[in-house]
Amino acid sequence: MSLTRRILLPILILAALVMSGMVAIVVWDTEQRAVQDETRELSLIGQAFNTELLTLNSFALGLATEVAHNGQVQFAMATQNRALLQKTVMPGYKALKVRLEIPQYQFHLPPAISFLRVHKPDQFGDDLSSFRQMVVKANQQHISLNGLEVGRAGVGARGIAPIAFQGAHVGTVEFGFDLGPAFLHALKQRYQVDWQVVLAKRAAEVATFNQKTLRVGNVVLQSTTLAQPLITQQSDFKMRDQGYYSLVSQSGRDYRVLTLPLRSYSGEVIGWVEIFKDRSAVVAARNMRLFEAVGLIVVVLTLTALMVSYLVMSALRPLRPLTDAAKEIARGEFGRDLSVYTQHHDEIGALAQAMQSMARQLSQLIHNLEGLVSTRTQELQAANNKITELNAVLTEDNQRMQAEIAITHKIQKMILPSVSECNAVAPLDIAGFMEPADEVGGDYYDVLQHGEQIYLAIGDVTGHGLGSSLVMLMTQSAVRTLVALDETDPNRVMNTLNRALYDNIKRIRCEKNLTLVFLHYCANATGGGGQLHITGQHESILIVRRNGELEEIDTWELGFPLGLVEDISEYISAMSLPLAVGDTVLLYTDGITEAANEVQMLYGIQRLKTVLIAHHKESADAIVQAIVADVKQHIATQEVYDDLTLVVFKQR
Amino acid sequence: MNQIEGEGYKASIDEAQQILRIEGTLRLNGLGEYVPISAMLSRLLLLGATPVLDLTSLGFLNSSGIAVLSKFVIEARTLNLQTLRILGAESVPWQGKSLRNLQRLMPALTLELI
Repeated sequence: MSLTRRILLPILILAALVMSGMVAIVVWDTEQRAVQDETRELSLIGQAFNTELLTLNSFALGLATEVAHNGQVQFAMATQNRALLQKTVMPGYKALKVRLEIPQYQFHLPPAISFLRVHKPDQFGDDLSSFRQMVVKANQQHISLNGLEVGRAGVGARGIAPIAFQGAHVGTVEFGFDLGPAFLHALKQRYQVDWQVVLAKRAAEVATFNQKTLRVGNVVLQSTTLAQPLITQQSDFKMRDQGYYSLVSQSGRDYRVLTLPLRSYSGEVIGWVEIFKDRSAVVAARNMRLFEAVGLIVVVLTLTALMVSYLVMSALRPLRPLTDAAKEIARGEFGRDLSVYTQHHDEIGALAQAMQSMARQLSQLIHNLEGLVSTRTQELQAANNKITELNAVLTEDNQRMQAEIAITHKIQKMILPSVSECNAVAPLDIAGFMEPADEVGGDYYDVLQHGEQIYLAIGDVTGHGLGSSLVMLMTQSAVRTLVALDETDPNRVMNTLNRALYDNIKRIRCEKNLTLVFLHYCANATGGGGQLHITGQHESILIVRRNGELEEIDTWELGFPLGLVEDISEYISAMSLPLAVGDTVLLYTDGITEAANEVQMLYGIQRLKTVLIAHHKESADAIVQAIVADVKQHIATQEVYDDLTLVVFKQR
Repeated sequence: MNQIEGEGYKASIDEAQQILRIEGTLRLNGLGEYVPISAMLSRLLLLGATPVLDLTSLGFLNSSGIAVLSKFVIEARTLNLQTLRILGAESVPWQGKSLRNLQRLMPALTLELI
């Protein structure tokens, strides 16, 4: 519905605008023509009126001139014999009156004394000079005059002729026709328009006629053919001595009015004649046409609306099933048959085809998707099962590793020489310390006594874990075996160890190797001190002599990593140095010197030396405790990455 | 294959310059996993008379890796190479001692610690 309205509304608005515009133009044009016609007609009537007025004036003068040349009239006037005059003119007057209304027929004596009013014989002898300028002037100058002048009965068209007797001026005779109701009604009959004569108040006041007449403002109504007088202007139009048109209305009637000035015989504007053209018929006709036009517009618009609605509805009708089908597709129903519409060879057909194809594809897609989801769900289930299995394995592995770590910790601790073993070594004061890292490294130290011979060893297997621990165990066994055989030759000791470890490491495929220093102590036969024979590559050996002097023994050239290459015999050598009473020897692994603090700063050999020197006079155990305390202080909260191993021995 | 890349490491060989460059950290498990690296090291020895092993950007090498390097040096020694240059970095902790031991395995080896 909204689509229909959207199409319909602009069309209707456009049609209404176009039609209204056309009607407005036609009405305006008709009105202009009517105005032209009206003004032309009024203009012609106005000209006719002026002609009538001229004719009337001439006629009045003609009559006066005729009478003035009658000898009996001249005689009667000269003798001022009113009875004779009346007797002379009355038969003619009566004859004229049959055919013609003569409102005024009067004789005057100079200067302007009414001598006989033929139309009113009983009234005479009054002086007219105060307001009848034409009469005064004709008597003064003995001339004929005609034109308009206001008299006792109002404005009239007048003709005055002088009367002479034997060459002497004896008076004047005047004929006058009122511009009164009779005159105007006659005009109305001839021209089919209404007439009205109004006088300027100043002109009317010079006369003495006292008719009960309408006075409004500066205007006095003379006469009118209108049922009700219509005063269009209340001023005296001093400035308006030209004719003009105007529109007025009264009692539901519209008039176009031509106002023409009335000029006296001397040319002065004394009033106006107004010609009223009733245009009610024109207005009614115009209104009728407007009404018809509006009616036509309404009819056309209604028809247009119906037609457009019908067209839109019929165009949209096939869309309804398509819309329903689209809604069904949105709900996931793809079954609707649109084949009736796909045969249309228009946009609807194209739409129906597109929709059918879309529904088919969607249906397939959803079908495929369901299959896919099902497959994926199965795959995911399988994966989940696998993960669960793996998790179980991992848990198991983790438990095993925990057990492994626990075992290796135990092995490492178990294999170390006990305090009593160390104390049993009479010539030396020996103390050892080992703290395995969380992951267990492969540090090793040993103190062995066979007969009078005393052996010490310290080593570090690379890496962590059970493999490192195993290599450490093997090393310990091999060293003990060599000691048991009283093997003291450095070359044989190291070569045998290397060979045994190399082969075993190869067998267990753990690629470990180790650094190991092997010390053989022989007490001096004379007592007090002894000799220390050193072989094998490891960290430096620190010796603090009784006097506090520190010696650092670099063991680099004394050996080679064990288990790394098959034959190391060419890299092995040995050295010997004496130990005096009070001398202290420190063995350590890189777990000590490379212990890191929070900012990854290493403990370092320098600090180790400092602590050793500071405590060298104390017992071996006290020195170990001091170093361990200092290292731990350095490490603080940092995790321990490598085993910490220390051995200190002092010559007693 | 002039380049291999693994988790955390990269090894690339420049045949013209006879340089094998190993970078990153090597924590491979056992000699088995080191086979591709070993193969590359062996290839380096066959490229010419002046092979160079650049380890300046190798931050870590586990014990298996040290074993591989040792075998490589012994192989070089048995080939009677007149020279083998190994470039290392003084700032990398593992290199000092281990590389010096390699030099002991083959005196003709020049070790340049930068």
